Amino acid sequence: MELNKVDKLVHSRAKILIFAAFAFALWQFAWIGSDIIKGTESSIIHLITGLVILGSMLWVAACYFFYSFSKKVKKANAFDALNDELTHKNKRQAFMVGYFTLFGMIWLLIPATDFWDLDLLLFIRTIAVLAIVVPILLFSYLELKNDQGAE
Amino acid sequence: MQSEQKYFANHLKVLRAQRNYTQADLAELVGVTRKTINTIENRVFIPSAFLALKLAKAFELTVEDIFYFEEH
Repeated sequence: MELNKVDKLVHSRAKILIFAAFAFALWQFAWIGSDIIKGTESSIIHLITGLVILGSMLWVAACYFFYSFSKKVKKANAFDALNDELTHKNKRQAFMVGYFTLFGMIWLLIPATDFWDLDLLLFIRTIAVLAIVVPILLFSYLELKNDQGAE
Repeated sequence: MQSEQKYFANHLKVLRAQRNYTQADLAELVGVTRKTINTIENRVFIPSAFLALKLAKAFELTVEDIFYFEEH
């Protein structure tokens, strides 16, 4: 099956989103990691700082890819096709999963504070990152799956 | 008594073949992605009334000529 212009853009969007989610997760989780080991004399601080820098650079690259992608969409005049009903359905599904991830993890965190002395700020940051990354990855997956019998 | 279940089915693939349209051709005609057409054909995705009417217009048929209930 030969991919047409809109198909290529759909695949390209999903790949950019996966890359962006990975970059954002690396940047934020490494940052959270650096805050955890801050004040200790751990030797991995340099490695974690490196990961924070790498993650932030990859995030900048992802932003550039988004910009470049939006120019391609404009050039192909494919904005409406790329935001059709199936895409909206996939977006809704991904946002619902993101919402329940956020909601579920917060409701797990509340009773967990009764048992352990947790650093709430770090956990809230972790949950916030997951609530962004999970729907992006799910949306990308939904955009790429269910294409059996494509002609 | 066993209840009958209704499934939203369509003749899209047959109609497309009769007119020598590829999924991409039809997608372009109605302004969606090729995958949207594929998922409708495979009954993974049920289109809105708006898209169903657009598809009917593209084939110069009525919505009922394309979409129907299949009972199991």
